[in-house]
Amino acid sequence: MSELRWNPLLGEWVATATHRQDRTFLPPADFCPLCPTRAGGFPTEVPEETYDIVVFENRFPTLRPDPPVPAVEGSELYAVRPGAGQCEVVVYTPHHDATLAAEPVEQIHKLVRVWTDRFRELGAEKYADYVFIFENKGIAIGVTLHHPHGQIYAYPFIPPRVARELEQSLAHRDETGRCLVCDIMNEERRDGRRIVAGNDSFVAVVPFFARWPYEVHIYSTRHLQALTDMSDAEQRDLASILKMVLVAFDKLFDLSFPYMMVLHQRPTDGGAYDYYHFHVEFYPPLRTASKLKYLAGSETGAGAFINDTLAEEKAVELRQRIPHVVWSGEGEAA
Amino acid sequence: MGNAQTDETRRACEMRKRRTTLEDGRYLIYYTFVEEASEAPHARDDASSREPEARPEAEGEPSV
Repeated sequence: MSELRWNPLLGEWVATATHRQDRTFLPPADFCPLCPTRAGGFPTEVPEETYDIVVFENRFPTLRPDPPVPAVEGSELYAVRPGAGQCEVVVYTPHHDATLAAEPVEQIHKLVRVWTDRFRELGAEKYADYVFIFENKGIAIGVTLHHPHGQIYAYPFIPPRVARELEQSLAHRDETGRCLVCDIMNEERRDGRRIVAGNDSFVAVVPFFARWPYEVHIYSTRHLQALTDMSDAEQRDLASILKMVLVAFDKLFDLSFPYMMVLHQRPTDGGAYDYYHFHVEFYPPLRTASKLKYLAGSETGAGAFINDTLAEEKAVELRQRIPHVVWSGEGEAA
Repeated sequence: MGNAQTDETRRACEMRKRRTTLEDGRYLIYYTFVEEASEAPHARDDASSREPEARPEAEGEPSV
């Protein structure tokens, strides 16, 4: 069963997808469904013996292009609609024990190009009001498969957090005539203390308003709304700064750092969103090597985050661990 | 904090996509990247020109 139920109290949709209770949970490496299918071996989700990057429809989707009729009837107060949309899995590499941080920057650049293609293709679907690209990494986040992968949801609505960013961005534009994220980025550059890394096209910061100890935002220096607006040079720079941040995360506590990574782009519902600004956000749950930041009563019940750390101090920790990124065929990068 | 990645001499890889259908009807897309002879990736900065159309499996494109 899967459907969308309206929450009138918060004014947002909740997806129910009961079949997801049965999805594969932390299988042994020999039975990883995201590995290539080896000759004579366990048949995985990917029939061929190797691949570069592969994308497929999630076997346990929350949303699907041909959703079932909702199992419950709606009412005037409780609206119900089919869970129309799409859920894709993006497998970053055929190597089971890899991580995105450990992949060469060239592979991350390939991933950026695949994301771009998926954003363009899914965004053109009638059901897709918003294409959401994300990765959940690590058991601390609740991943069910260790093999390096991300996901893409094509929602039939603009999700609440993005909708709020859009509202704030539009209000700021109306009030000042400027882009909100451009102003945030300029403020961070003027201050400087929270900047983690940068290149020609992107800047990474622990934002002034960070909710998580090691929350990092990556803003495009040019005012653009989506991956599809980027030049090839900008997509390379995005790959490069992702590599910098991911490696710095892993160096923090000398472990494979868990995180949620999300891309915030313009909606694909046909509206005009020139006031919005592309960015990537990371929400790592660790506050020390062994302690998690839990979303407890204040965060979950009130929506009010309490950060036990200072963004200025956490940015220094990350900044000190930013690596030089070297592309193949080059010497040491600048 | 440099690491600017704007070297015009870098070679782009052509991205190819091959869409297949799994036994249960779901689609699966293989993305492969082939080194190009082109010397100036910035000559093709227009996003719409970067990604070639999906090629059907019937064309016999080699697998990844």
